[in-house]
Amino acid sequence: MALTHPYATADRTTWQIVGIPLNPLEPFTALWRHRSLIRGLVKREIQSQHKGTLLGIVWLVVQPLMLLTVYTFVFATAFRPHVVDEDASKATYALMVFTGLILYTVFAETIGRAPRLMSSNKTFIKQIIFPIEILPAVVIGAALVKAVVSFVLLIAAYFIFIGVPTVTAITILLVVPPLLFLTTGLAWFISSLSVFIRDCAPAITVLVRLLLFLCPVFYSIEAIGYPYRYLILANPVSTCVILSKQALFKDQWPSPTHVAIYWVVSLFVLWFGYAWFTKTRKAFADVM
Amino acid sequence: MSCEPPAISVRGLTKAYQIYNKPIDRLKQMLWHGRKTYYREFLAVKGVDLDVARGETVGIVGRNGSGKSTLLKMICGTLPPTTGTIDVRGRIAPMLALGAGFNAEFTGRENVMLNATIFGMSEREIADCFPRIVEFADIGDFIDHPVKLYSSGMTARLAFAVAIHLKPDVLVIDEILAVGDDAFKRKCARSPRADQGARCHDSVCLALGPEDH
Repeated sequence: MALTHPYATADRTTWQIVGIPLNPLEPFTALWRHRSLIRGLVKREIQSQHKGTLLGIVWLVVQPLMLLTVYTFVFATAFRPHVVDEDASKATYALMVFTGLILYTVFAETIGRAPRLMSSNKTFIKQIIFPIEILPAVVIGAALVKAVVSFVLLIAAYFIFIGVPTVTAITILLVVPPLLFLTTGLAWFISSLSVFIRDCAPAITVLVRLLLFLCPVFYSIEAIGYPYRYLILANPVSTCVILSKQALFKDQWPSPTHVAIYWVVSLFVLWFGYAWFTKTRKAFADVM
Repeated sequence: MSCEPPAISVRGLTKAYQIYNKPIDRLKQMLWHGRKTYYREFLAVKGVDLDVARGETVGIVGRNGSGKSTLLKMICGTLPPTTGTIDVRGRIAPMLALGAGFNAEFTGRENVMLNATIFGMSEREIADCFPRIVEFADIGDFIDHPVKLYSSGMTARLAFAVAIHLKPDVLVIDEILAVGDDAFKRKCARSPRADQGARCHDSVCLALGPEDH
């Protein structure tokens, strides 16, 4: 795929007004078109995070392994809040926390980077022809690679402490994609908005920390009573965390209604984020 | 050549920069759809018509602030024009600023790979032309050092070597080669695909014809 004008229609390029992409498949085709570039940049992103360290790429495994060890130790021996479910054993509880954290980290890393994503890639916007719409996908791609490594470790620990996962574990493949769509859509929206409103950066920093506690990572959703439960369910990460924990640890199939709603909402957020980004990107150069 | 459509065709191109006091004003402007004005205008380029045929080299000269870079940015597609149309046939390699598209932390080698990927080359194509890029840039062991350690001349050498080996149809150069030494400028001039670009210190659009490939 050759890169021509960023607003090119075909090989022959003409400037024209960029309309809102009404086609809901648009975000997917845009990313698919640049898949080899995304793959290359994700690799680079991961390498650069460990650049200059002695262990280098080994950190990719060592980091989650250390986290897993610490969480298992802390939650299985010393600390155990009274809001956890009574039927969960200590090791199960520790692994549940770890599951929630893996999912939340994908969201937090991407959203946390979004406000400065455009300003830190100024040359891509102003001096070279570059499909800047793929930048949020690169960040989430790198976060996802790390999440997959953590998840493999989680499954290993699962076999050691709990045993063979139940069949319901497979439904995790059904509840994780919406989280990725939601996060990418929000990253598109936030990264664009922060170009115009600089206050986004400090606000997002606080929000990302806040949402961790409004997400059933350290506690179970059943422990929260009703008006407040809505607040937790409004957190975009919550549904994914709840359904994943159920599937992995409680041998429960997810409710098809919940999964369907989650998919529809997340696809809408993905489309909206992309539409907003495409609509506003031509103004980036005016204010950078 | 006359029967062929031009590689670059610019009609009635005007750029009025909109100057905003605060970034948020730009957003308000967009949301109000022009019912209200939040900016001051600065006219940089007015009514430019330009045709560059395949294989032709055009140099643009003018005083500082006369709009040369603005014109080239619009041709490259990094800056939207206010009015007018730009038709570019084929792939453009822009060299608009020194070290643009280079990540200072990575080595020259890694940056060549990155640039070629951004340009849309496959891994095999990159592997094919990599030795020639290194040879043309001729920066010795520095190819494996981070770009942040490069002198401006070295950065320009590498950028130029990458740009001409990507086989673009149109090469746009904005004053980058001014930092190269005479030997390198002569080398660029000898390169069949770079022709006059290197001799001129100013803004240049090269439309490379098929005979140059």
